[in-house]
Amino acid sequence: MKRFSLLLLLFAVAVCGCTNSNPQGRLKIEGEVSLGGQPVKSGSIEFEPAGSQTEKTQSGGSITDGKYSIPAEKGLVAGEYRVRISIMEEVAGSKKEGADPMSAGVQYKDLVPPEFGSSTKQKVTVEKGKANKFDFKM
Amino acid sequence: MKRYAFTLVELLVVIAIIGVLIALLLPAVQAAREAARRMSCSDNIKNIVLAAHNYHDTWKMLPPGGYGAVRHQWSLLLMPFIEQQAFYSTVNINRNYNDNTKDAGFDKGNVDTFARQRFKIYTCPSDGDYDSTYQTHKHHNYVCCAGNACIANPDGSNLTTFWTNYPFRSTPPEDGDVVALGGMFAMGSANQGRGIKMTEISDGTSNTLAFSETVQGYWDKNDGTSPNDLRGLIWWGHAAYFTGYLAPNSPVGDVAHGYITKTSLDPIKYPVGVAAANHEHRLSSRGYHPGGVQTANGDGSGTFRSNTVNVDVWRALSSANGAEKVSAN
Repeated sequence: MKRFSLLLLLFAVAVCGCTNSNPQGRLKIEGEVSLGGQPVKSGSIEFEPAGSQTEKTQSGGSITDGKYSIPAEKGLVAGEYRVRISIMEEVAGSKKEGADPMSAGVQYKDLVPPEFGSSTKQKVTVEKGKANKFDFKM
Repeated sequence: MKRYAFTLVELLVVIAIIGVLIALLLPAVQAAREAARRMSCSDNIKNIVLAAHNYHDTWKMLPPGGYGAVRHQWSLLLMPFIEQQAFYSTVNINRNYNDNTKDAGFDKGNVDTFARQRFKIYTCPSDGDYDSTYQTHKHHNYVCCAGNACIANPDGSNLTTFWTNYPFRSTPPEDGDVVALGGMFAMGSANQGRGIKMTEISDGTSNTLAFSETVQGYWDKNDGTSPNDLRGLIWWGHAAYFTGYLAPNSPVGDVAHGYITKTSLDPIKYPVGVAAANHEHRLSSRGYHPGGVQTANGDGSGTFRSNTVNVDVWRALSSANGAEKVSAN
């Protein structure tokens, strides 16, 4: 009896920890990104809803050493998405030494070809019950 | 006579049970404390939106969200309406807030003294009271809503121009494009910032966001490698607002041209990105409350909005005249 009540207590504690942190059933998104055959050292990727799904989610993340991974609770629901990638490189010599940071920002250049970046044509379909792995070779 | 005593096992069982009960209680206590802080936060944001209404009663328009990058943002203009008239009267609003020079005809002291002051009404209790080491400015937690898009200032001064690349179009959307629309507050340079009138908010003030939260970053030193997270510097035009393009607490980073490139906070929870050379700005609503952000609507009501809000609804709420069909929930 004592053992049983202890087990019950343990079970109660375990159940207390369970709250649904992903009520919409968002899915994990991951993949690899390369530019000119080289993995992208650092950049960012964004997914913008572009389909007829009723639940509109938008997500993204940073690309590190050629990979990105968005955990499920921050991911996307099933549907069609447009993808935009950006890789920013500091423009050499654009940083003004000693200038007030609030009036002189460093300039950056986007290395991504327009069809993946500013006027992207990349579309992906996120599906349930599938590994949503999207690789981009630029 | 036999003396009754507890056995070691009995004692251990009792201690274990007490331990379990405390373990159950502690998160509940923490949650209650956070709930109280959230309530106090909603109180702050409600007072701010009421101050904006009083400003409108007086001046027949809302305060400009920003009026030049380092000049009188909404946060300063609302001072007389949050019982800081005495403070407001020491500030010469014709000068940049970080301008310390004395000029003839004005004997009002250092303008940036107010930027070093902690204002409780502008501070979310779930955040804290930090100094930004650089220029010892205090950052705060509330930002006005400047629409649903990115904001760009190609000439370095005009914050009203929307970023026109993907996914924004000024013409009706095709294939999921977002139509860039302004919000309840207009950001602009010295000759373009202006106050919006309530009558211009054609979506209705209860369907339009007025204020939401941000996080306090800090700027350590201006050496190009230290964190330069100016989020929460609401005296500064590039950080006094948010837009509804990104969902609340989005995993996509906030960007502000070359100003915010490295965060001083947890980069997973409060990410920043790097903006292109075209002065792209995109700051989203972020906060420390679990599950969502506190917002104030244009009609003076406060709403806690979930991180999982449908982005179409969130963008519709953040625009002032998009004529979107929005169900308030």
